[in-house]
Amino acid sequence: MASRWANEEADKVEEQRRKKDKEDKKRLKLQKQQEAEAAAQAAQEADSRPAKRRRLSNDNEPSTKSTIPEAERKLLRFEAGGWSPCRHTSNFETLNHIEEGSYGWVSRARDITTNQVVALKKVKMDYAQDGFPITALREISILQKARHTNIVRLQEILSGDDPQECVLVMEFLEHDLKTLQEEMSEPFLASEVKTLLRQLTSAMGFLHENYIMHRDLKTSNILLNNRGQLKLADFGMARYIPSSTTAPLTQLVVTLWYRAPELLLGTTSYGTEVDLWSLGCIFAELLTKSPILPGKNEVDQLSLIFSLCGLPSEKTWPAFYRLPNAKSLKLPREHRHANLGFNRAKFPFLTASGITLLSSLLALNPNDRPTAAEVLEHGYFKEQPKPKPSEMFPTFPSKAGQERRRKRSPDAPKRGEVGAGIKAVDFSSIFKDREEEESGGGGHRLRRPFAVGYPFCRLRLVALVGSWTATDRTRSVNDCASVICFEICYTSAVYLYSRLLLGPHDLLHLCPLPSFPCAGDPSLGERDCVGDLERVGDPGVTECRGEPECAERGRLGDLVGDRSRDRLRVRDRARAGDGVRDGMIG
Amino acid sequence: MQPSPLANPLATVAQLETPGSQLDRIPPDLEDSAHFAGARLTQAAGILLRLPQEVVAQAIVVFMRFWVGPEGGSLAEFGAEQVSAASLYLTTKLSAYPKSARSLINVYAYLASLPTTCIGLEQLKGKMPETCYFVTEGTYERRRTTLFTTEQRILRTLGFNVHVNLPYTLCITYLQALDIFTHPRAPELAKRAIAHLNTALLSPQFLYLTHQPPALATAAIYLAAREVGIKMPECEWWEVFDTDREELGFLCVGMLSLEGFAQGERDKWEGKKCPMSVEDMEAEVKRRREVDG
Repeated sequence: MASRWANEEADKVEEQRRKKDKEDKKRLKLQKQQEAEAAAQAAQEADSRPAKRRRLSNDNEPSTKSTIPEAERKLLRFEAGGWSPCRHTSNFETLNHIEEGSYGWVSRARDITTNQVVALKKVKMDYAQDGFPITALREISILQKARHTNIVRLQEILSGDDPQECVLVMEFLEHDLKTLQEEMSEPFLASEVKTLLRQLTSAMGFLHENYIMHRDLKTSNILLNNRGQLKLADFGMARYIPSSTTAPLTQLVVTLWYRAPELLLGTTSYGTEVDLWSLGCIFAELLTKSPILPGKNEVDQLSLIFSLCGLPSEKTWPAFYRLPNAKSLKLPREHRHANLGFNRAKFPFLTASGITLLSSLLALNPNDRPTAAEVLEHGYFKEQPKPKPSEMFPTFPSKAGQERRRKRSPDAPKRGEVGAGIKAVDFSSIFKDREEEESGGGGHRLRRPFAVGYPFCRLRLVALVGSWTATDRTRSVNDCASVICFEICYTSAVYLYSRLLLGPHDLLHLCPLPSFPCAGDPSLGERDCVGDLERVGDPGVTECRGEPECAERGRLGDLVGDRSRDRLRVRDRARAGDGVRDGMIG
Repeated sequence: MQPSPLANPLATVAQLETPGSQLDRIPPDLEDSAHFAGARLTQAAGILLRLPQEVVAQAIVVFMRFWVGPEGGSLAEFGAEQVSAASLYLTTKLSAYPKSARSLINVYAYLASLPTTCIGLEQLKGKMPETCYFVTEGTYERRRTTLFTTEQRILRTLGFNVHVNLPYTLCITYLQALDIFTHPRAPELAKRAIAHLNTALLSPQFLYLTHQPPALATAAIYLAAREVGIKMPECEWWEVFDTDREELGFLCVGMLSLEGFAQGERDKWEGKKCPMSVEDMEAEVKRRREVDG
């Protein structure tokens, strides 16, 4: 028992001793730590002090300066790599051809060592005249300098067995906007148009800031990948803005449909405004899904422009009459058409601020067009619907990923080619269509498939009322009006419903009126019906995207995207109704 | 992102160690002479073609880039004259002052007709009898083909890195930043600095291929200020322009040594012609071997 007590006491003592030891150790450790911290602080002070003093003293005491140790000053280092000879084309394996343009052949290929899928652009060599083609040289040198998220990346340049062979290696993007739009069953949603337009404009703003004009903007030169990223390509026409205004520039630039009026009228001094005109054309094309000004030749192009944008006058474009080709034009008498500005009726679903943006881009006077930076700040991008985040963009089956025939579209003018020229031309009758269009509301010039249904409804209505009045004249006017109202509601509901079910083409077949598909519009005539269903499970979708997980995500995205697209479509249409009113009144 | 507008691609150490010509056993001094003569030829042709100095300078840098590295051009395969012509043609094509192949060939024919490699400005102005430099249509066709194939070869050898950022405008900007232009003799200083930059183009040390434009501009200002006798700030002002002391010292020595090198070249080729074509180069190498035994 006693031993137990004693034991306990001894334990206690032992415990206390242990505790004390522990505390001592702790204290010692803390002390050491504090000392170390103090030392470090002192060292830091010693380090930083001379630098401070040196900066303040401004070096007027050279004797003290030499004694104080110099702190390392940070100098900027410029890295621009080195150079090495071109690799050989055999490092790449061609998968399929994509396109052949005026400038060269484009194909999809795989880097044998890294398995990366790229686009190869083989430059057409025309050595007879000036050695290495200047267009290719310019494109290469501009692409080497222009590194931007929305500009296609030039990775390297290859050479082949033939010393004249030259191949550009660029990142591969699944679509170009032109082919994509041809394959789509209906235009991009308003939110998607905004995203595309904003990306395009930011690329353009970057180019213009760096004194580069693209000079060949068109939908076939704009690429889109399956992640909703847009990239500008084909810089074959691009050049630096000349420093002096004296050097004449060629007016034979930009594909006809996207060519600004001042170029058509033969100016030799122009600037970045020509790109903004093309941007306007592309904007309109994204809205309507087909080229807005598809002129057959230069004269036709001008007349299309004037019928869309109104006529130039001394007030709106003072420099107009001094342009080389302007003298030969006979314009309609001014007083009748002077107040006809931009033809808003062509864009019934565009909001008021969208119309102001579009009409300012398509301003006849180049000085009235906004800069790319101003476009980006425009209210159109801030209002509802907001630009869709590019991650939310729907994916589409890639036509570039497989072998396929493309439809012809006009190319940019070739160097040294002489334009057809503009001889004496009479534009007196260009507004005939427009007057009809505005007074009668007839949709035969509207390219939108949407527009097809409305005259159809109206015809039915007229027939109905006609038969009614013929058979039963005793009915009161009120009754008649209410029936007409009902008929309008009914037919529009049927139309909307059938569109949701069938898509526009099927409706076209049902439609008894023969004149609906416009003769000049190849996209309506030849197009095969591509339903939304084709997007899912299309081999192209999975094949073209490199990583399998990415493809899975894409497929899921397709389903979700399509469903939400349908919902959005209904919502957009409801909003589009407002747009119509906006367009008509404002 | 976007490459800096102040930076150039530089030659690597490996490229500088083994130029293509030395793999073909061209004597190093002859190689230096050919590069120097080729660069001066480009300069003279640029003057005759009324090109601005920035275009000529770019052409000389492209010319120099071509010879560097084991994969670069060799004097046993390409004559200095043909590469000079092709690099000038290539550079003008990308500039705002394109020149036709015909005017280029005419100018080079004229320069080839001059009796010596050491061309002075007076000789450029002097009139030669036209028969000396007349180019027949057949010769023109032949030379044009050579011009185009050489141009193609330059592009491939450089991997299309033909863009050159130059230090001239930087130099003026730096002088403005240093507030030099309040000094009455500032124009003299600026002229000297530009002259140093032009001279450095001809350097056998490839100063433009080993140093970035900011360093070149700073070194030129440093030398010019010492020569003109304008006092610079006492502190290490060159560090403001991202040049360290070591680089500045190296460039100053390099730029100053050029005078002696140029004098040596003049003595060497006085009244003679430096071998500017492949055949002449072969003959010269053969002659030297015979002399050496």
